[in-house]
Amino acid sequence: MKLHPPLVHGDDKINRDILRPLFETSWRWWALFGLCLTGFGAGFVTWMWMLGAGMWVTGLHRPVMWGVFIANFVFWVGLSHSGTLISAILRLAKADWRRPITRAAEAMTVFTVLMAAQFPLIHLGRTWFFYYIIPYVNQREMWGNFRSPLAWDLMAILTYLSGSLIYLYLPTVPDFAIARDYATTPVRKKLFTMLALGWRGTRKEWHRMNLAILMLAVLVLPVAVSVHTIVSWDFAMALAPQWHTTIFGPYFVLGAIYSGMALVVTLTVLIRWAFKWEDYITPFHLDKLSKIMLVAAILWTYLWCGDYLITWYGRLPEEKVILDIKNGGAYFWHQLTMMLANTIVAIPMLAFKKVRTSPWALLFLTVFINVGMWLERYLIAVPTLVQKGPAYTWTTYSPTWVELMMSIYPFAGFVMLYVLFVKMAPFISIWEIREDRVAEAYKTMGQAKLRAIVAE
Amino acid sequence: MRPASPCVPSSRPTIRRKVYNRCIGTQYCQNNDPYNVRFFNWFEAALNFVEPLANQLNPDVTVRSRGVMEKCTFCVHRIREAAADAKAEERLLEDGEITTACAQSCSANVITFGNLLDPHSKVSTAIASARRFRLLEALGTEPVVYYLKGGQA
Repeated sequence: MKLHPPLVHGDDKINRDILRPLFETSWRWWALFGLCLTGFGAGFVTWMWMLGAGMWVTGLHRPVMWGVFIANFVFWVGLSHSGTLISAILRLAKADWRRPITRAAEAMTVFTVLMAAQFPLIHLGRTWFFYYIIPYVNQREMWGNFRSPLAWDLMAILTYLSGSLIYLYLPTVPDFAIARDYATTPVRKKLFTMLALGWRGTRKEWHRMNLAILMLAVLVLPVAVSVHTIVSWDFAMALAPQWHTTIFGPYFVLGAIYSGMALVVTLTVLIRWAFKWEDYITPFHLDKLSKIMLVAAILWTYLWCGDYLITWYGRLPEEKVILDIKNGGAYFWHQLTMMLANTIVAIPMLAFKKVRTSPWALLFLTVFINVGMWLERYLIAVPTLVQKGPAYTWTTYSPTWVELMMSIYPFAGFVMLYVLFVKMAPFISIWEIREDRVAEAYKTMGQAKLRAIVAE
Repeated sequence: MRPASPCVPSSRPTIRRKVYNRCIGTQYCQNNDPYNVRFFNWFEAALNFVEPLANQLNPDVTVRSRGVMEKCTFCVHRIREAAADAKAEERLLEDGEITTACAQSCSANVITFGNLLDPHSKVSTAIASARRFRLLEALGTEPVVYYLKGGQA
């Protein structure tokens, strides 16, 4: 379709390349959206049906009260981590290669947190009373129990969600302004005008926005770290074998960064392929992302081994029975697959530059890593509950189709929100790309060749 | 450790009480419970009794709704009633005045319920025995349920 000529927005090719998905919708988009909507809808109907029927439709039974739902919760909170990491840490570190990836990563954070935040509700026995946990003044004189990690969870996740939502929106405002000026249909024009908040690109506006982004980056980082630490405390604060350990905080945060980085790479590869943005997201960027992933993989493995070694060497009878079912019992294959995916295959493969720069190898590897990370969450939640406490209460756990549907639900929901976002905002930060190109340009002054802009 | 605080904390050894109306069913207490003695209400209570069968329900005990975690209350309604009676009559509770439903109905008289802080109560004399033990004592949860194992007194 015909776009308006560029007015004041500089490089027309970048603008058109990146704005294209906003204005052009192919049948493939509709097919993907329809598929995701079906999965999301089916999951939602299952949830509503479960609300009416009761929790007995799941595979949960005493004492295994936390199963796939909680594994899903931890998994999706974990996935949300790397969006903030890439964006905030790299922004603060002034790592310029982050530029084409930040928007996709920040959007990933928001949508994965949205999916994760539903799971505590899904698994509540009385979902309709969920607000009892929220501390607010009410006529029933009720107040949440601040000694419970679940109450911290609620606050941490809501803070993280609102923080990352602002952190996603703020740097998108100048891009919304570009989209506004390029939009042709009145509906789009109106929508982007609203989203652009009257952005005109004055010097003052740029200054204030950069300051706000900087402050938000500093503020959102500790929140990001604390969210998953608090999720780990849901387990570590309980007096249950293999949960009650101080290593869980850093272990969860690293696991979260690891799985989140894997999802960022998966999405980056897919976006690059789907929108033909090979000029903007190059193997150089994939290499950098994969290096972070490699570091996370090594650190995660180190902490996993640390946890395992102490449990194994300690030989507490309560912990040993759980270690035994992971090492040779019902959870042997889960643990083996997890170790294969997260350590044995991932680390040697990521060590090669050839793998790190090859999109399709990375796609396979990162999906495999996330399968492993899901299993890791499952292995944390379930085996402990299966064999904790007096031996006459030991049992087994097998999920039913309800848990399966509720695992498809967040995947479908996440992809659905993500592809909707493709139509809502430029998926690569246009102004940041342009800023980078300007900064990268060289000027000749006499005989010297200098960079056009020297970073502060 | 319930997030919506249906559980009433206390510093001295006492019954872990729960306010069922406040329970939102996170099922977290089951994870925290080293004894696995919580029970989840998977179903709504069947209350469609034909009159006068509804009279079999205990008027002193609330019917817990579906989705609530519950545990043994040590028949707290009986304790409250006896305590209120004693207070009205301006006297102290006597040993044996209160017993739990399980102790009352046990044909082998296995269970004794009473005041541990009173050294002369029936339960205190029973657990003075060397055969006494508590479950998972190493965890430091200070349970108030004592058991007597086999062997010589």
